[in-house]
Amino acid sequence: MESVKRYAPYLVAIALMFIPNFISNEYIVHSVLCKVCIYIIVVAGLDLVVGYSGDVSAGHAGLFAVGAYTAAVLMWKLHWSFPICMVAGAALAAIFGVILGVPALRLRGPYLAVATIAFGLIIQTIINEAVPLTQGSSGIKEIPRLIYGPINFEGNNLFYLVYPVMVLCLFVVNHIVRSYWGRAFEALKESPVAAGCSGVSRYRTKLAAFILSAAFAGLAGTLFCHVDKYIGPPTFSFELSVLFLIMLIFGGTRSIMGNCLGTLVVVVLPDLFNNLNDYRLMIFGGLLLFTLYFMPGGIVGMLRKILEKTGLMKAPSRLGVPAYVVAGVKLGEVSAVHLRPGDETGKGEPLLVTKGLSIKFGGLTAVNGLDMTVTRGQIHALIGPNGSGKSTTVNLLSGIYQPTSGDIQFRGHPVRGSADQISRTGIARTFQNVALFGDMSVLDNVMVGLHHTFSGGLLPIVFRTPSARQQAAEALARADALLDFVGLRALATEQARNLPYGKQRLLEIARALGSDPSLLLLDEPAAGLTAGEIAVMDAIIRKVRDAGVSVLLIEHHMSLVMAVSDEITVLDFGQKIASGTPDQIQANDRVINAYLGTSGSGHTLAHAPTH
Amino acid sequence: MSAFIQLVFSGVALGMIYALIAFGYNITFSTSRTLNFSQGDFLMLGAFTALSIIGSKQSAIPIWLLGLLAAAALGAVLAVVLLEVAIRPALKTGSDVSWILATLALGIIAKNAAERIWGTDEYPMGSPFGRGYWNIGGVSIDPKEVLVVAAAAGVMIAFEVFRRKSLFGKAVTAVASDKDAASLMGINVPVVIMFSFIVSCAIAAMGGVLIGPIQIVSSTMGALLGTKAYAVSVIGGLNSGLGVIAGGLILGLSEQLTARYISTGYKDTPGFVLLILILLFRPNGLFGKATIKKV
Repeated sequence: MESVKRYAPYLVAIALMFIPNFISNEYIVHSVLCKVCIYIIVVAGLDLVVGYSGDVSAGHAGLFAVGAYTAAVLMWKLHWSFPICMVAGAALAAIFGVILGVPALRLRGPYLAVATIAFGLIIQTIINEAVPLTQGSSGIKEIPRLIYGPINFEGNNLFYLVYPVMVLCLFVVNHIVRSYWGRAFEALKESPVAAGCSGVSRYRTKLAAFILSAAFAGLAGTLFCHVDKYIGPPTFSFELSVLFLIMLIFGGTRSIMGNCLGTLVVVVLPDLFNNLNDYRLMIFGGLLLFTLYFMPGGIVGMLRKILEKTGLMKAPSRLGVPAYVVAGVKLGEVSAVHLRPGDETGKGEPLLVTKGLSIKFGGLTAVNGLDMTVTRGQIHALIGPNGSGKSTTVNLLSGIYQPTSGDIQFRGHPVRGSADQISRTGIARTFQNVALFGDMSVLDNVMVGLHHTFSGGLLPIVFRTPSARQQAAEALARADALLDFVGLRALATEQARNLPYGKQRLLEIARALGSDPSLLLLDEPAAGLTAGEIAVMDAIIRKVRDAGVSVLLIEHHMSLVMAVSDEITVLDFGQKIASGTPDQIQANDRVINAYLGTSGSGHTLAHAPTH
Repeated sequence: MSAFIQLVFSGVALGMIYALIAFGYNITFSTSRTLNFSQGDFLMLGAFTALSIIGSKQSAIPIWLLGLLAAAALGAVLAVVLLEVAIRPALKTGSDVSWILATLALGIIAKNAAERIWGTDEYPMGSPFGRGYWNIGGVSIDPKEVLVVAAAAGVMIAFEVFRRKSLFGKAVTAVASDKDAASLMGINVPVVIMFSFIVSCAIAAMGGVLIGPIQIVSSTMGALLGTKAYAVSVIGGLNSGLGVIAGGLILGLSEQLTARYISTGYKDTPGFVLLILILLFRPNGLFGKATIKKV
């Protein structure tokens, strides 16, 4: 049964290859189905950007045009053979992907949408104006025929070229999204900050998704010029870009089945309702709005829901689960793997030293000249009243904010850079407001933390080379061990958002430990936990320390702080007012003052109100 | 020389239209972190609405003003539709993808609707001024362009004064800088956001009435204008107020110079080139400030 399920898509894919042998209608096969296949390539590529990494490109028609014109011009003017033109078209579109993505993806916000819309219009201008190459508005009619000796790809036979290329593209997309790349795309979409702190470079990852997507659009364009043996500027309009988006959303993102169904429906629908052609865009616009708000999973999401309700299909298998198949490892079969802090030597020596660390937000100095030393092998607590600058300090240490002045030394080296760079130097963190990748499985959350253990570019992923499988298997084993470490192994395949709150906090710790930190920053790990859960947290924090990972703990639960800490630093209004052992801190008048507002006697911090 | 001054003045007029539309983008972006990707089509609908009142010939000033008002009213209505249909439901999902796609969808619906109502023809549009030019010191200046510059500057300055001096204007600024704090201070945030969209869309629709007599009114007139205005927004800085004026002038002038000295066919390219360059070298725009996102 398992093998039937596994090979069924391949069998279907092969069977569909023979469509032209059964349907000889030139309009259906040549004009409709070939176009559908070509558009599916664009849409599957677009899915990498929109569905997986959460950006919008409204200029894919422009990239599609780049491919189409590249192939047409090279074949017509230079008589290049078509396979080389395909590569050239995809490559040129990828270059445009770089030109657009490098500037537009640096900032958060709708910049990619803005830049791609502008790009789509510019490509139209260029096509219209570069007459010697493109013949301007009259278009190119001189596209050579694809006949190689006995092999003829004209007429309905074009399907035999277009269809296998499409299947190949879908295969590639499928392997990409089920690799650590796909996981990184999705993590970034769900929580860019958490993904960054897990070592995923937002910029490079989103850029990779967009460039790949551009290459697919270009490749599809090279095929497209052979459908009508004519290309002209009106085809590659802004409306086509929006139609690609409609195909994608309507079919259902992050699903190859969705890409195929959505494209098929959007291409075929106007043919079925010819008399409504004048209202085509209104209908499609309405369809897009309807899908966005009433059918967010698209056709595929709806079908899935129906199948689940009728019991014909089990609950959705998330991205991470097929990774087991790849890796050839089954959950629970892996041997225990211990934490691997960067290096365990030098216990008792300074691990993290800040000197005069300050940050200003406009006129407000949130952290002011903080000198703090976290000793290797210790649990160091950072406490202080609300607004005293504790979380800001964590954000400075983890690279989310850049200090205005002062410096941070970690393992004897200055720390600077973005969150993902700092994560790779061995500082990991959790978040005050839990920042998990809610739609992903518990296991996949930890796998994102292990992002840094993966290496190798696109090709190993696409071909699933032995080394890529080996990496996946090892990461999986580590993830399993880390889940075991925090006691969540049994929940590995749950969706993270379904975990109870206390377990979500533990999962964040497991994910953070995935990056093999020497220092773990815990930003209020006990906030909102029940007494029982706090006891678990207490045990886990000690366990982390005992495994050789130093801890910087920010917490309001004084009983927890006083119980686990080796050393405590107290902040008030951004400045350090005390540091010392728990006993020293509890007896410190300034600290008591800061917390209780009086120099009251008889109060100790252990009884101070908690949040 | 006089030809050159004329060219510069046309560039300024064009630039002020871009700035006006971009100003509208910045208003909604500041309050809701969204902008309307169908703004160009709203502009086009405003132009068509006014056209049916003003007609294609020189018109009396009251009639023209009536047309302008009608466009603004339509803009306000469209703003409410936009907000309720496309923006508000999308903000609940928390992802940028939804509102971008939803506003794009409204754009193609609006364009298709305009094609059904007014067809795909191009129409000339009247204004208070005829075809004559003003001769100022040997330079012929198109009074319609003077009107564009004056009206665009007037609208933007009026809004800035309103934003800085009036209590409600300060509420808009408060929402722009911190929605939650503004809400806690008793500011009705949804009302402020609604207001920002109404202003933004009304401005765009009036922009159509200003540009119509200079260019031509058609169902496709909005696409290019709306897109270039994004570039202007980014050049000035999406979170800058009047930076868009500088952005608009830079783009308007570079387009005129490109048309004059390179090729009229390529006059639409500077917007894209400037957009890419600004994003590369000054990603927050010429006048925008980098903002720190709280975690």
